[in-house]
Amino acid sequence: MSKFHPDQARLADYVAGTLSYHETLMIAVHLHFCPECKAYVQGLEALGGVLLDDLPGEPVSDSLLQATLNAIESKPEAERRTEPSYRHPEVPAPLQKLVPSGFDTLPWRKLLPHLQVCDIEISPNGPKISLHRIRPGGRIPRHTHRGDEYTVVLKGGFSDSLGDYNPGDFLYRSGEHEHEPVAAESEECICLTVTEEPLKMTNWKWRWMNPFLS
Amino acid sequence: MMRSTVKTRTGSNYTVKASDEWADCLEAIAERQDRKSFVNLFNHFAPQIKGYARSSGLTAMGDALADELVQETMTNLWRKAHLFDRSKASATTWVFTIARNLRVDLLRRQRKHHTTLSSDDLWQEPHTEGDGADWVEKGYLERQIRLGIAQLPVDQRQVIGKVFLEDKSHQEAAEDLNLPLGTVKSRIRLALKKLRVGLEADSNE
Ligand SMILES: [Zn+2]
Repeated sequence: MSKFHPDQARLADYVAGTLSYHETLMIAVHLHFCPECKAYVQGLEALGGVLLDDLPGEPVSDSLLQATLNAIESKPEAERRTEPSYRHPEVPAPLQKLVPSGFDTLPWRKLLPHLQVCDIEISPNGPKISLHRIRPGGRIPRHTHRGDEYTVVLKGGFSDSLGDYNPGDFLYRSGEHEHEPVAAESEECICLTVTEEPLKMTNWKWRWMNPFLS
Repeated sequence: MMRSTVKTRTGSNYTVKASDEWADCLEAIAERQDRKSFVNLFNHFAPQIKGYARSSGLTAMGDALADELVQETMTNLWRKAHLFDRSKASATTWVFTIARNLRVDLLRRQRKHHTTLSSDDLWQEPHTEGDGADWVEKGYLERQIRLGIAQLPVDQRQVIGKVFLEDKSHQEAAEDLNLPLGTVKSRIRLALKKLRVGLEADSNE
């Protein structure tokens, strides 16, 4: 059971559909692990339904009804539930399209001795969606992130000075936050992250790395 | 052919019993492709979906985008009716989630924002997977929310309406209402608490 959740106002925005693509994805992945927030989201969806129902409607033309009837006429087959052909058990449902055949087959790139990274979706202007993988017990040198960062733990766990994080935990850190994460000893740790900017080493020993991290 | 009309209702004279009627319609479509039920659903939901489309940012190109959302949502109701499960979500909730997903996809397409994942990847349908909380059943949750909304102070009702049905961030909602961002955020939190959307509602009963 995860201990770190998105706050309720953010869940409301998720249900309303007003968050960015990236924030929406991070919350969807958290919900995959968290029955508590999922139940809350169901409540918010019921609220959305009630609010929709209370809206004063806008006039709809007869021709729109006719066009809609024609549209269902042309697609008489009811849509069958399409089960994904194969689901990798390690990968949460919302990530299946981005990680179709499991974490091990991804083109990981070594960033530091204990740390690998793989960008799974890059948009020209938006932030990057990446996976970070830390070896069991691996320690990442002290660093900050030049922009806001979201993290959801997918596998294993890690700790920093603020807490211990386990699968499903949702973390939001502002750009100023500086930390030195350490992976749990028992197994490797894989996290989904969204960063606006690459991380920036603040420990003097590693500062030379900064130009290579983007 | 039935004429669709503008519907104006207040929350209070609308009962949960009526929402079972929409569930009946969805089931009739699932079981026997019942067109009459579809027209009933259309006449009830199409004006609301159009109102939602217009308040939530689908205003470019006159009525074209709003009408597109209506038609896509209604067509989806027809095609997905067999996936509807009244023990997991009410018809109104289900319609809301379908319209919301299509609205987000429409906006992304319109803004040429290409993404690998579509709305259906990002929002699980309320009734598909998982343990679906039991208290959703029998309209309990929805009834409670309806009662809660009727008792909500006007300022909180207004903020909640903006957050859910308009394409507005908290910051934009604050600008609209001429309020500091902090006030908007605390009104949202208060309203959600009063509506007892979450599980803590059960323990108080
Ligand atoms: Zn949670």
